[in-house]
Amino acid sequence: MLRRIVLAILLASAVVPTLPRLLTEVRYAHELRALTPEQRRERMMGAFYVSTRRLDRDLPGEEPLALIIRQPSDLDSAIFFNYYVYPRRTRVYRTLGEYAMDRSPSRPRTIIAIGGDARRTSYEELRAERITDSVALAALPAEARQSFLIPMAVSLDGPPPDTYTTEATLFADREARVTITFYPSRATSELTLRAGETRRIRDLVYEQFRRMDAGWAEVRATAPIRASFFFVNRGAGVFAPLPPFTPARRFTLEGGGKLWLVNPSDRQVVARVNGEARPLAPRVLISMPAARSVEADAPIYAFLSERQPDGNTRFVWP
Amino acid sequence: MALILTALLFPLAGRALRARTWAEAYLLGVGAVGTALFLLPFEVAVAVIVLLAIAGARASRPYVPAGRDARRLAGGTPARPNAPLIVMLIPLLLMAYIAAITPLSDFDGRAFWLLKAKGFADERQVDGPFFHGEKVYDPRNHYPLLMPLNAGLLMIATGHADDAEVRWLYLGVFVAMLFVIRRRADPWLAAIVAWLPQFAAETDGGALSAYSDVAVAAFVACAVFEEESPLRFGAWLAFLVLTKNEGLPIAIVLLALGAWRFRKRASISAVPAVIATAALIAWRHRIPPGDEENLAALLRTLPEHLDRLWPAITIFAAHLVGFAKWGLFWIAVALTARRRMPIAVMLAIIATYLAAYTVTTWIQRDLINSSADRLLMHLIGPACLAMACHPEQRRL
Repeated sequence: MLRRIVLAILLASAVVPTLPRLLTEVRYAHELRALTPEQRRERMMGAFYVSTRRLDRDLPGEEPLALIIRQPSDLDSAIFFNYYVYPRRTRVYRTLGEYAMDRSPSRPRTIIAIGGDARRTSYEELRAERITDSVALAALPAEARQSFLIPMAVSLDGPPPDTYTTEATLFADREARVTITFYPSRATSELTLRAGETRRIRDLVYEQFRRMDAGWAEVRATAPIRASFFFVNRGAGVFAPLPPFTPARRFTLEGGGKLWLVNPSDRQVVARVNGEARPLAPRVLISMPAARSVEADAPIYAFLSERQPDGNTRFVWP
Repeated sequence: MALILTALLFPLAGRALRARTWAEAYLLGVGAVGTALFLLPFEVAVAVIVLLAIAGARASRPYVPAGRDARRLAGGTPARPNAPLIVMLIPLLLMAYIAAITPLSDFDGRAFWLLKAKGFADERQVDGPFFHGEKVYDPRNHYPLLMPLNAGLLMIATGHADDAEVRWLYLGVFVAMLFVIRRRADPWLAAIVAWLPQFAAETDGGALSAYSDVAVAAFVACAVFEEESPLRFGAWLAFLVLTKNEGLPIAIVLLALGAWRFRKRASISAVPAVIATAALIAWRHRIPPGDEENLAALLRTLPEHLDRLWPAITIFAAHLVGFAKWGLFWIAVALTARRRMPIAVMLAIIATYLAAYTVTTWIQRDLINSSADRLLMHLIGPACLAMACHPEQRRL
């Protein structure tokens, strides 16, 4: 008799927590029964599953995919993406830098960003999405100009965590239409500054020209503007100013690292670097090992850059 | 299709291996099919499995045990449906309805176990590109493969690498285990286990998931109930080794039980377990590891981590009284268990789990809270045996 009582209590203690949960699941199953298996999964698993299946349908079956996660907790989503698109080949990258550093021939070209959903994207877009704040100062020079040249404009990644961008801050007292031309590609971009507006640009080359590249820039405005530009290593959280330059024929530079030469003209120029002739194509920016003396047959611009231990870059301007 | 295949293939294969009941046949079939797929090339394994199924189907009548075992089984078989059977069937019918309609949604089942099943279904080998990390990221690459291989075979047979095809496999293991407990321990205990939330209603690890814990629980139960055949006892241990990482230490504990139970014949029990262990080790040497912990190496650091043992005990013990997962089950076990053998088995298995919790490099509390209830599932067979009043089990 005692045993029966014990068993009855034990059974009740199991039924009480289980029955409501089972009935909830049964009711849910009953709701799902009219749907197809695919529709049931979509309803249960939501946006991530829907986006995963859509990508799997839209992409060629043999196309390998790079799954780049936004944060460590997204690894689970990447694993479930694997699960639902198998046997498609995928490779999980925990950071964008890990993808950038993967030089293997089997690195997938098609990138899927894994976060709240799964979506096809490009390396450049994903990188731009992750640049959400400014690193450099918003300080503006007192002098306003209508036209000037910036010696370097980059949107490039080095070995992780180095991510290089050019940050800009622009201000106009009165409305100004600003045209930025990026060389040597000659891509142009326009923006309008309202009177009294301060515009901050976190990644000048990508935001204005939709590319990751290195070059220099020419800025022209319909009214004087005040502007500052910085060479930023976002991974290290450091920056160095990029002052506007004035072309000249002769430079003397003291320092190490790299020598950079800018030809701002539309014709070929011959520069003599420590006496050695170096032809410069029109509008080009090139680099070479540091040199002290530079002379040219037409106005150019020369400067040095040297990476510092903290990830920053020290520039030597003429 | 998947339901029919599951309901026929595994019981018939098990029946050919001289299982004494259909429930035991199902579990023996699950173990044997998975083991064959792991040990043999795919085509050979399939041929063996087909031959087993044909042999099981051609058997004119079920294997009839002889002697004392026959008397015990006859005494434990109810003549017609009765109260404990009805009580046991209610949650099983509800779970069958859920499994038939609701897509699989558990974590490990999809992320680890059935991902392997899909890999196997695609490549039909256990050391192909999938297991070398050339196709996808397989986070637990060294996990044993017995259940994924069974699931993969069903995917191959049905032509769909879809988890809907394998849900009956996992639910079937639970059902078979309940019938084994019902027959070998106590019908009311089987009914109670059928209602335990951790088995019946838990998304992660329960019988509606694709985790391998219910299979471990079933194989442990079959092993502790096995008194007749040391070879079959050894087969259960081999299946344990090939089902989950925990299977190996459990098998070692149960080998001690086998030595006590089978005396001079105990060495026969060790043969299947040793073969399975050797095959598992050899397979792991052929493929890269995943990101699982190397517990074998970590256990050597146990003396340095003894200060973490007491927290492991207290956190683990809290799960024994977790009403939402277990009701009063473990409290009842603590109060009513009388048989020394199953109690010793349970304590030895718990000791190995506590040792693992002590040396883990995970956050200890997180690991225990996420796994303790699933590990307790493994003890369900010994627990039922410890509480059973079945007259034929008194000598245990």
